[in-house]
Amino acid sequence: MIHLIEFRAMGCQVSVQLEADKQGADILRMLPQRFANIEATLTRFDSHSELMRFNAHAGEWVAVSDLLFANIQSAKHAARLTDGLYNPLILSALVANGYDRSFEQINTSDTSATNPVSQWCDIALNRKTQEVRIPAESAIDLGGVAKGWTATYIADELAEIGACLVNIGGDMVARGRPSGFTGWLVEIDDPFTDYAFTTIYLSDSSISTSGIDYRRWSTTDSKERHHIIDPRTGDSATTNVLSATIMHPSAITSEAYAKALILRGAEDGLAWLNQQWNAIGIVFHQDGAVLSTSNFTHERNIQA
Amino acid sequence: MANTDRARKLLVRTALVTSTTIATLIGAQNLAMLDARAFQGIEMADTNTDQEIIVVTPDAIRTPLPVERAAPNMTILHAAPSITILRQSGQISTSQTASTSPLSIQPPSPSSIQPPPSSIQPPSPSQITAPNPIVVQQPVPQRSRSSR
Repeated sequence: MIHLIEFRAMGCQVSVQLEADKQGADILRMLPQRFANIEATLTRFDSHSELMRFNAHAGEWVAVSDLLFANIQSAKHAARLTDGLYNPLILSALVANGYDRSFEQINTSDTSATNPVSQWCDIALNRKTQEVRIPAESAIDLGGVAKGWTATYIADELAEIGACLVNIGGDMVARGRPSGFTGWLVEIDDPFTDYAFTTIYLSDSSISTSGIDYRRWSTTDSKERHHIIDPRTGDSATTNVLSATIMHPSAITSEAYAKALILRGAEDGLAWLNQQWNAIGIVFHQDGAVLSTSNFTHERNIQA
Repeated sequence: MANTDRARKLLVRTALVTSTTIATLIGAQNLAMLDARAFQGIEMADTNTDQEIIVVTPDAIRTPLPVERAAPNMTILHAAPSITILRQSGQISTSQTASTSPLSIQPPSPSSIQPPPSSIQPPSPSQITAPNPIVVQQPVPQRSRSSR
């Protein structure tokens, strides 16, 4: 049987499905607390979280927990994969653009002068001592990588019991496939109509969507801002992409690729994505067109 | 007499050799011209072949290739080797957008308008419960979209 639980965590709607016998319900019942513990460590909206206490010591070597170390390591890896278009050191730029509190609390926001974002390669990690150092006056926002990491971590745990699908605000990790199905049915949202543009079956893979169709706000200078920051300028990205969906065996990679594709623009981004290992992408262009990598047409069943 | 015969024979031989030489030269020239024409013909044929390969009409590029898809109304066009067009700009399905248009809402009758509650009451602790898993008959489709 398939058990389903839904709740809110990490600023998103979370939905987890697990194929298991009766014990499945007990296992899923523990998940909201597991998510709350992870969020308490990684959130940037709580000055007492471990991430924000770490950020307060920018420029120094700081010993961190396994959880934070693993996430910062993943974020640096994602930055490397995207040549820095995904950059976890954008927190100051996000705040300067007015995203200084949880999105649900933003109505109109003040902005301040943006500064260039620090170089991701200046994030230093010492695996032996589990210490991390970031450049002085910089700060980390893990953003989508934290969601991808958490979805992967939870899905890998649940996979020991049965096939599962972990969905954090539209970013998903699938492990196995439900009995009698070729995969977990996932609809790709059409941001122009709010209907599903197409459907895929996901198994042992992940899917991430990032876009500027949501998490937008106006600033006191009457400008429209959104949460995709271009690390090259420190401002909300200027792009012809409304939203990008990436399928990849790694949820952290698909998150980072989705951001990079938006920053590169539809055509250049898809051409770049075609050269990346095992990546499949769909782009909703701002003019209404929908483009994809050449491998999408043959890939209804997405699996690693 | 003998000298006259000898002179005639020499004249005849000279004439034969000369005419043979001239005929050989003319024949060789004609053969060379024939070869030249044939060579030009081959060159022209080669050029024509190349042009046939290069010329591709725009219609040929835009011919849609039907591909079996989950969404049956999707047409796939190949634009560049690395990019596939799943939908052209300005082709958003009107049947879908029409159904999202808001319904007309009738204003309520004055008698049905209730005054707003004087204050918003917080829920009592018994109303706040941890989410409980439910059992579903089959996997519930999930929607991938920008985080919300």
